[in-house]
Amino acid sequence: MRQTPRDRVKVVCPFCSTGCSLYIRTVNGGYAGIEYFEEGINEGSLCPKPNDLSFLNSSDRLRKPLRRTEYGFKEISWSEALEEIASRIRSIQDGFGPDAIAFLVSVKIFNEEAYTVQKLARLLGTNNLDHECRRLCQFPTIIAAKQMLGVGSLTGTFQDIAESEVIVLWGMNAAETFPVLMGKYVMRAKEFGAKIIVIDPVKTETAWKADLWIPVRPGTDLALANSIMNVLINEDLYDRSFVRTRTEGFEELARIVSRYPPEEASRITGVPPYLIREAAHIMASTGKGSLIWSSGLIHNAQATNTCRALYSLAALLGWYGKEGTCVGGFKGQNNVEGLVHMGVAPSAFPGGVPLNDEDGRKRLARLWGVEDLPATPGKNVVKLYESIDSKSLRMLYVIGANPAVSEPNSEYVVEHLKKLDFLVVQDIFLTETARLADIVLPAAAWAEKEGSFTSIERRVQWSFKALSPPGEAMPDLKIFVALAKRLGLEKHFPATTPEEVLNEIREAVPGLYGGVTPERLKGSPKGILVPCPDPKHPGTRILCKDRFKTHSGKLKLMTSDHSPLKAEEYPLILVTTKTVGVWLTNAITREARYLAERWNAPVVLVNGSTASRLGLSDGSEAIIETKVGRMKVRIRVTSRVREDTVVLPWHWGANRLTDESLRDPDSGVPALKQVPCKLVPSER
Amino acid sequence: MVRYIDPQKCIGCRACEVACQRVHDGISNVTVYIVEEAELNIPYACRHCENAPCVSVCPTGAMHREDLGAVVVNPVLCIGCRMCQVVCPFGIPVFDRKLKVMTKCDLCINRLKEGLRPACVSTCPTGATYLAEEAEALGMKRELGVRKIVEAVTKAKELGGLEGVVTSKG
Repeated sequence: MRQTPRDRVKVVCPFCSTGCSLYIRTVNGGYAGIEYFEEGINEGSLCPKPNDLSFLNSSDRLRKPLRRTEYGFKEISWSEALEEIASRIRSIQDGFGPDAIAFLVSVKIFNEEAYTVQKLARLLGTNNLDHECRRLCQFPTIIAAKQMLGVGSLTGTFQDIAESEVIVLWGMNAAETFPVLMGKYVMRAKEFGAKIIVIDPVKTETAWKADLWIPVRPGTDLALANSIMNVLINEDLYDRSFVRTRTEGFEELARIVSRYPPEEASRITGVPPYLIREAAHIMASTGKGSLIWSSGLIHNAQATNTCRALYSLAALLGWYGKEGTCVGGFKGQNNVEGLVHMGVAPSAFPGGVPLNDEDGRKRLARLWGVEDLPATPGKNVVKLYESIDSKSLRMLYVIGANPAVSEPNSEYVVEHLKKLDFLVVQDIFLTETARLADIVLPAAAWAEKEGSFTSIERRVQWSFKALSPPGEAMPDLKIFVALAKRLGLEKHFPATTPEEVLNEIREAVPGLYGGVTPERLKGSPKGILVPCPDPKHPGTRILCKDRFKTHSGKLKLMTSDHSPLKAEEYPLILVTTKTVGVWLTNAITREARYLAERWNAPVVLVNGSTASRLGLSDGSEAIIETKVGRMKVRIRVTSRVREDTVVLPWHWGANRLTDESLRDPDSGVPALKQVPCKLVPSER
Repeated sequence: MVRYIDPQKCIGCRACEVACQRVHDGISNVTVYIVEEAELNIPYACRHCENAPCVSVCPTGAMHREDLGAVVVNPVLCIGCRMCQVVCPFGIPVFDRKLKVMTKCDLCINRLKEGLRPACVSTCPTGATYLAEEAEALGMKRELGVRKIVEAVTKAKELGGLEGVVTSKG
């Protein structure tokens, strides 16, 4: 048969939060590869992941709703599935109250879908609504940023990173986790003479490109940041005029960091004093710099305090409010920024409106056709499992998330999910979590529907529909609207298409999305940078230009003392990392052949002298042992890591080793990059 | 146009490998070598030599040069004798077990004909693999070289030590 002319449709990449665009090629309506879209922020370039989207064609895609029976899963109709979910919701609501139900939301669904599901939860009467990225990557950054700057997003854009004269990547292996950002923006800045500083216990691909690599001991970044500030203040290298006019709390900050001269910090961080000074000197050489971080900085037991120190450090350097500066934490998933804006959170409504802001709450309630909305904070992801124990949580509705693999201490998580009265999982594959469900709903993948994503630089972009979903799989938006109808909430959901919902979002979050019309979005190859309050507004590149969004309008300088973990009997520190060719729990990428054949097994990186001390050779097998579990892995001997550190990608079940109880107290984020462990040769 | 590589830019993401495999029915004709001692990643692929030994030695004319500069195997003429493999100084041609013919990088000749760049070039996040005219590629390098000399001389002047004279030979 002759092929019809190849069609192509523009989509936004479904993996990380960089916001790359590409075309999906279709032949006779089916997936037939991709083509490079040159007008996006990625200028055509893509990392390996979207180069193989054959998971879309996988025979393992879910095609029908499933019900658990004693003989395994049985296919049922949509009508049966929705009826059962609606009736269980009603009976649990009646018996135990609306807070016995919780929603765990995907960080990959469109803004329109995220907005609709949070509205559904709230109209059911609960704020039990969270997404895993909050607890696994972004919350410490947001807590610190809201407190100190008044806004939780990146202060600048990728363009500003490219225009920086110094770029500090702290706990962020951009070459593997944000390759296009690294290639198109960080490397471009370097080409024009910018100095790159990478702070990471691992000499990553990113560190290879750096002018200065600082191998900090895992979990001691706070002491290092304090020490750099100590040098800036002691040597009078800080931006005095910025500190005087735009910040408050300098005296207290100076008092705390005075306790961290490089010699003292060196003892804690394992970084030689001269490197700390050199870092400070390079940073202080310019007022145009970017300080960005990612989960390497977040997954430790004092994450929020560390983020506070970093926002303060950038303030001492004057790296705010102008082009060529960008400060903040990078969150990994493609629509994590959008979910924050859409109010998928137990503690805030769309637009970040606090639950106890009566005016804001009532305004939303009116828009949604009710009198008021629930004002008590919901359960967050951390609390979910505890509330399953206490029976205060009976039902969990998981949308495109895989906590059985992604959360620390997998065994603990699985055990708890099994104890629920009712578990619904909505996904494109039968994931490890879906296998535990009572009802499984088949969802359409992102390319089989349309809507908007908001990238990490606050760039809203439209992703068009390229393909039809397999079997009876449905777009998440349609599922939520259908369920609302079954629950008798139809009149509160007049918007049923992505365009209609986006127009409702413009009303709900006018300051951010007021000017983001569907027509404008569809016609902008690079999307629109929010805040964009009206249709004529060009979008916002730099936040906090003249004043911060705090009460006083000034940035609140904050930091705190480093608090060491109590000594454990384990001699090494396990750091779990990501790999460029695998996406998170590997639920999607393992279905893409060309990715799966390259990135298929974990290898643990061990320093040469550590390996020889333990009698381990390159390629041999060993067992990693932690307080909660054991795992057999293959050894790669390398000079990339510190002697006290071992590094293991987490995609292949490494969370059976991580400890759910070791968390940052402010945010609840688990210390996944600070796990005490030991390494023993594998018995034959 | 020539395909150049710049290992100093490569971040080892292997997007080129996956892209190549996608457009070549499951065979990747580029491999990224990660050389830890040197802290370099090397995207390794056919050089499309001007005086290509593989073309000279091919007994059937299967290995040939296309107008757009790509050295390409015509699978219909290839007898799988592996002579190209023997003479290639870069170890490029491989035997395709399914089709029983030699295969190698074709510089995405079909894409070139459509006015597109090779997949490895299009996808590369850093520009480590790029397509350029010789003058353009050298121009980029020379500009960079000039900038480095300017930096060095400026620094020397600041320090007041050197006279700021740069000669091409000592």
